[in-house]
Amino acid sequence: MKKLRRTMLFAPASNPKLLFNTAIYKPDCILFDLEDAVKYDEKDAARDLLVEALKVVNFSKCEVFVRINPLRNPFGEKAPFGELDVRALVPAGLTRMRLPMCEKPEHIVELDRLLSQIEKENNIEKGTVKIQASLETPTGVMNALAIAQSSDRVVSISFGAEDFTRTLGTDRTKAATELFFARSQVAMAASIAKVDAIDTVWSDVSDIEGFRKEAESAKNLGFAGKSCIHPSQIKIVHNIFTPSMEEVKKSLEIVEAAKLANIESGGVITVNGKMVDIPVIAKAERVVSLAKGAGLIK
Amino acid sequence: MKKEIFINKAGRELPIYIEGYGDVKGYEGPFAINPTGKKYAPQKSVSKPGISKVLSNLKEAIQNSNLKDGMTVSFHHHLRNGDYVLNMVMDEIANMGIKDITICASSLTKAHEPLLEHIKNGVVTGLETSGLRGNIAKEIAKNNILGKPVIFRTHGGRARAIEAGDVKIDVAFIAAPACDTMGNMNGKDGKSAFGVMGYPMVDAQYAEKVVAITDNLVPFPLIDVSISMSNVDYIVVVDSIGDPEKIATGATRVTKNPTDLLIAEEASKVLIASGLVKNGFAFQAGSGGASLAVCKFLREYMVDNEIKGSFAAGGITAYLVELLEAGLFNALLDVQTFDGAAASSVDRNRNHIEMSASTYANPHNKGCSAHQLDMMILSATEIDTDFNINSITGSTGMIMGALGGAPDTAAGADLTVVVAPTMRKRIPIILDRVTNIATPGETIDVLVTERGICVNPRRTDLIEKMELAGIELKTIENLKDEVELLTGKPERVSYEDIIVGIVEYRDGTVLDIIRQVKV
Amino acid sequence: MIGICGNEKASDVVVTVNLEAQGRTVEIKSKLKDMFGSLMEKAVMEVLDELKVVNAHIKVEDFGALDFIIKARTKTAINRAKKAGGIN
Repeated sequence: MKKLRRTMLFAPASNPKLLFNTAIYKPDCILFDLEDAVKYDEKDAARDLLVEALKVVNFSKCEVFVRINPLRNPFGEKAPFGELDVRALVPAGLTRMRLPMCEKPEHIVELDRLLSQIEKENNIEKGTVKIQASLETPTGVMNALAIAQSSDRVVSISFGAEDFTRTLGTDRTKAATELFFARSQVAMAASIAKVDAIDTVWSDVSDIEGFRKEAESAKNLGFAGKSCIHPSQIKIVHNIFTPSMEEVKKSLEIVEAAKLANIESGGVITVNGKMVDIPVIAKAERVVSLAKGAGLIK
Repeated sequence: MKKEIFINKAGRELPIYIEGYGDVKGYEGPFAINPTGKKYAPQKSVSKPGISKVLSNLKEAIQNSNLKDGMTVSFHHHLRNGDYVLNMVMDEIANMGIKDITICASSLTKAHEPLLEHIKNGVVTGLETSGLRGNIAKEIAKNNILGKPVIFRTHGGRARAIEAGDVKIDVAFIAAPACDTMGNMNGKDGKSAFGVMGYPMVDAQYAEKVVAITDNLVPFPLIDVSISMSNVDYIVVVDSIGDPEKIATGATRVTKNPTDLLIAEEASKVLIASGLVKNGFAFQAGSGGASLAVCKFLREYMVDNEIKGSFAAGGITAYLVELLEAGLFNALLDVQTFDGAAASSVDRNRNHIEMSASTYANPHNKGCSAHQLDMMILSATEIDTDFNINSITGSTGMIMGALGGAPDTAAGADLTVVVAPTMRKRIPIILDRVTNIATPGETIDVLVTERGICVNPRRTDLIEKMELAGIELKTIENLKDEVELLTGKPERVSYEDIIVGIVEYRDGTVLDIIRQVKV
Repeated sequence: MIGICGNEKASDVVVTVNLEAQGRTVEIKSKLKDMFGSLMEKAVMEVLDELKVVNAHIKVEDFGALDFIIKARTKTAINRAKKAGGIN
């Protein structure tokens, strides 16, 4: 079954309590942050906390990502913390990293090379560590496809609206029209590259209706999931991504029919008098997957 | 000195005799005891027309009540942390040179810290209560300052003990927010109103002398009467029976803490999966964080499925009053009103019904509300792999809690669910063996924590229902091990031989003993 | 050469490392010392072993931290102490 990434719950790695308490809220993914949420002079402490947490904390079914610090600063010079993060986290067993501020494929390639080297040094199978590329600027968004395809390690791309709007020179609004094109771009790139697109954070925790609307629109645009900063947001997103029983029933029929017809690639089958081709089958499979993830079916 | 020991049905080692208590009858099971004999009764009384019960001061009331050295007095704790009365009375008793008094309180709160002095001075030499906290609890646990074991009883157990004559109250001092000149009283009128008067109803019927202490004397007759004048000897008027800010606290709000909400939501799923949440169901929950939050999730389910319950009992909070007024329950049965907002409901709503502690939870009468419950939600300081609950001591051996009505309702309810976090700070809640047992595991059905749900293996029927509903279960041993990986296994406290507390089960048998902590 | 790491907050710990010491000594200050004191000391020792530190006085002011947090803070404090002393 395809790994669901409907929710990505954010937590600063510098907060000891969150390290062992975040998984209890059962998000599909957790993002521990070593970057923006951690002060400069606490970066070493946060890294050490994460390394020790990875050894003993049971994250059960949550996929654990860490947002490492950038490898390069905006001037292209080597930045202080990124490499230290990677060197400490890979041997500690981390297999998912978010690289912030990805603007060009070269950024990913650099991380890819570093990871291959460190995997080798630690007798870890090459390619074990996967990357989520964070697109936070207009440049990054415009290069979304190239970035998503720059390495086999890339399993996901995420969109960050705060830095994006700041760079664009505009403000974030709740209606989010300023983000529409960027979001679409990211979702499309993810679809072509066959990776997951994760939508940006909604910071007003008390505005539940606003959050729900934005999560709905993210799903409609083709995002696989939404970033969350508070446990109360998780259920809302999971509900949005939970198909109706009606949809599930239809999808199960399609998936079953496809299996029987032994359809590999190309071709069409008929289900309940309707023509069903590969894209429809793929959608049905996704619905079944979401239904299983939501516990609707086994 | 008889030193023989035996092991009771809960697996605790008990001596057959305890100095300052007597012969020990060990716990044998929640409904093992069938009492025989007559109920206790105080001496006959007489009244004549024209007598006045209103005395000039407390001293006069104490004198007229014939209080002597070695006697037993009683108090209720409806005034919560705002109580002035217990301290007022004990100070006067001390001033009068009376000593060796046993206090039989429904419970003791932070407001009663001044008792420490009276204990040290030998004015108070016996304590019987549902709970004990703060410095008194600490001093007793560490230094045995009382010199005699504290007897801890459940709310139902206290009523039983009074009615059976196991404890004979010589003088009951009853703080009354409204009292008329003949002693009719209620708890809901006046500046110090607290709601219903469930606990002292029993004291009033069985004590030799009953003294009402009020800051609101009204002309005879009081209209709404909770305790009748036929049981009241004297009345004393004081300026204030308590601090209104600490008595009638604001409405207890449903928690916003995400962990408590998570636990509450999981607990409500368990309740729903049990099939017991249907028309006419009866419900009770504790008032702490996650317990109260369960009401919120249940409410959503009840509204969505058009379910109306028969009654909710407690410990009544403003939230339960909301459920009553929304038509989700037919009635509220109230032994203690927890917040000011709920207190006014007693006046407003005919179906907000006052009940005595005996009607609430005494197992040795002809029916109590605790035995009518379908489900009960409670919390714990510790739970062990046999599902025994501790709510009276901490893992350091310190006394810091109460029995309350939990053992009563746990025995009576079809489904008893404990909601608790797996750890508080670093201290794991799930242990091999609880420090002390307050509620026996055979009456506890499910544990719901933020890291997993465990069903008591005795309840194969529940396990099946949970699995059908798709609720993932863990064994309590596995959950314990999982938590221990994070917290480590704590070193347990060592004890002296001296017994400082006795945990009585609701039927008067001994469930556990609390020993003095080795410092 | 002193290094400090941590915060005086619930579930956290403040670890102070002084590398100018003779041998290894650990000082624990905690409300939970009776219950977890020996486990806390063991956690610190394991970090000293891992980082091959022979001389250090470690002061642990605990606020209910789990062992892995004590270990992490100890590690960071040792590295900070080394840096302060110009050691790598």
